[in-house]
Amino acid sequence: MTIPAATRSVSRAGRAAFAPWLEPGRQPLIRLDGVTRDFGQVRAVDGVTLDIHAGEIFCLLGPSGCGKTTLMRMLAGFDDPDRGRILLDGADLVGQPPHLRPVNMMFQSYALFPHLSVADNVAFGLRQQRLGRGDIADRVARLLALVELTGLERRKPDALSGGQKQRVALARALARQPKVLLLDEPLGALDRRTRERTQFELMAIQRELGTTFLVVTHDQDEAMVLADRIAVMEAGKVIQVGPPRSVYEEPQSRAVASFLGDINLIEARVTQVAPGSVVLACPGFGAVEVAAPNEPVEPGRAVALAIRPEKLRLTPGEGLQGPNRALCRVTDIGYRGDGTLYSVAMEEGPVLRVSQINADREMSQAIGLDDVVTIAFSPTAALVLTR
Amino acid sequence: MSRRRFGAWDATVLSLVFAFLYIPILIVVLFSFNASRLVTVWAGFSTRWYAALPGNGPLMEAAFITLRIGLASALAATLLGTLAAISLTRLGPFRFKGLLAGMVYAPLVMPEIITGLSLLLLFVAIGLDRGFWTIVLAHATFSTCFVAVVVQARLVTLDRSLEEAARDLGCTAPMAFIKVTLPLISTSVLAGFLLALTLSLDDLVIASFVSGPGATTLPMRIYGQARLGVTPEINAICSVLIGLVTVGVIAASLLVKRDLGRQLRS
Repeated sequence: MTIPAATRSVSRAGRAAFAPWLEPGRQPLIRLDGVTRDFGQVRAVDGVTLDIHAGEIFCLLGPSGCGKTTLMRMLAGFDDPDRGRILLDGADLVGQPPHLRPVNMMFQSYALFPHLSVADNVAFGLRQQRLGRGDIADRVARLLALVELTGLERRKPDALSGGQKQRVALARALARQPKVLLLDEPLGALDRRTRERTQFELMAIQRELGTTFLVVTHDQDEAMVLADRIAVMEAGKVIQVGPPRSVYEEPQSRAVASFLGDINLIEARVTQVAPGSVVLACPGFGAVEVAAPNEPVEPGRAVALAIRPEKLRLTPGEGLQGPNRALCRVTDIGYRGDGTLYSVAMEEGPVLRVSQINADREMSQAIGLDDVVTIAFSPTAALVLTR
Repeated sequence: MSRRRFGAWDATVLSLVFAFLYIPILIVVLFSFNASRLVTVWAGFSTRWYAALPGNGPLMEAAFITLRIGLASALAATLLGTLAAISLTRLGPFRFKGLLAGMVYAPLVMPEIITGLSLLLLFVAIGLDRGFWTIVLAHATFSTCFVAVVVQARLVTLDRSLEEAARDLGCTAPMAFIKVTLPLISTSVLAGFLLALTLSLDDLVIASFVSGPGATTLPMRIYGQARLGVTPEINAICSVLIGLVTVGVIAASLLVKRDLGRQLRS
């Protein structure tokens, strides 16, 4: 694989210019329009409407049972919606059998054919297209070079490691040059080290080929690193769509905020509204000043103050008093090596989680159990959630 | 968990069980090598009774018929049993599925005498002349369930996404079955075939009910002769039959085991 050195380790978030979903009037590659699927009494997918653009890595993220896999299977053709349309390049796919759809899938179990060699697995889809022998051999060689498996052509899947199986599955799914590649938990079966390396390789291959990737995952780290955009799903519905930074830093609901990463949610009430900021009455903190939410709020409105553990500052002892500050007692310490997660209890108010990076070797010893500490945050660190 | 030592008590029990099961068979095999014409008196080792077998016209004819019936009925049973296994594991829920599942396995526990009698009544009722083909039909009927059991056991453990992957890569559903599923269950299908063949080779009860003139199977011939007195020739042909059946059963179980081992590894 030849990848320019400069782009090799740049994550998706670093690709600032790529945002086709922001261009008005741009036709999406895939348009899901009110897609609904019922299994008996259960509504697995509930009126999902999404646009996915050519060249994107789009992640469907949600807990198991949220309908993300069903949605993917409807794109592959193993299932069809009860209502709604699935448009690919403007043509409705609904009712088309899987073998006619210009879409390929990488299965969670990889589903490599155990009776066929690596080369025959990759060639399987090409043989169905009735290409010439020489063409097929060429394409297989190029695909195996792309996933760095040259030399293993004659191995049987049994004799491959987990990471190698994953690459064969990827090469096989890419062989027919699909318009969309569906990846079902692509890294789920790999150990942690292989997983990190594979993430970057997947992104590099995607950039090289320009194929649109639709990734289904329950693993938010995977989604964050891979995706151009993430659709967070819950109970069959898409509850928020956006780039990783926006779903993490600007969640629009308690559900999204608490599904992605760790977050402290404190029930509060709006007391004052000023341009650009609001003041909340917040248990434990008293008056708190926070940047105004996207949606206008009026005094008296019940809201949630959301603040992530890494955005709270922790200082030993009684520091300065003032807004956005509170005195706490440490009730629990979770030392994780690179950082420490503290549970701190306010005199009257909820228990909060605060995380600190152990930037100095002495740091984790500075704060002990039952110590009095001061926590503080800036107005832009916290978020006001109305839903 | 530590493995218990294999003590004297275990050895005694095991030997008794094996003795109970296999001494009668061993005696038959042993006396097939007896030089004497008298069945109960040992007069030295000889293979003369085996050498005499090909010269025994009626016995050889019966053996040939048995083999043809075995092959034909095993083929039919393999086809039907495999189809039954597929419909039970792959078609998803359908009407009467539970009934089919139960009915496929019923012949496993059905007394042979009832299977034989009911088939005889059926053939008489529809006016089918009894002979070669009625035995084939009868054997296919009861060995289908054995094939279905063996093939279904394999299909259940086969990853469904393999077929989906084939369809995703351009195969229609029937093509996906032929290119992916069939090669992967082929050893089980073969094991089922061998089992069906073995069952057909040594069946006496059902064949006796449904056979007609000119279609005497080897077990029937042996039984008929044994009633007039056991001869060393009968011991010899029985030993051959025991050998065939043993090979068939062992081959079938090895095939199934090999498949299972491969699955466990992957």
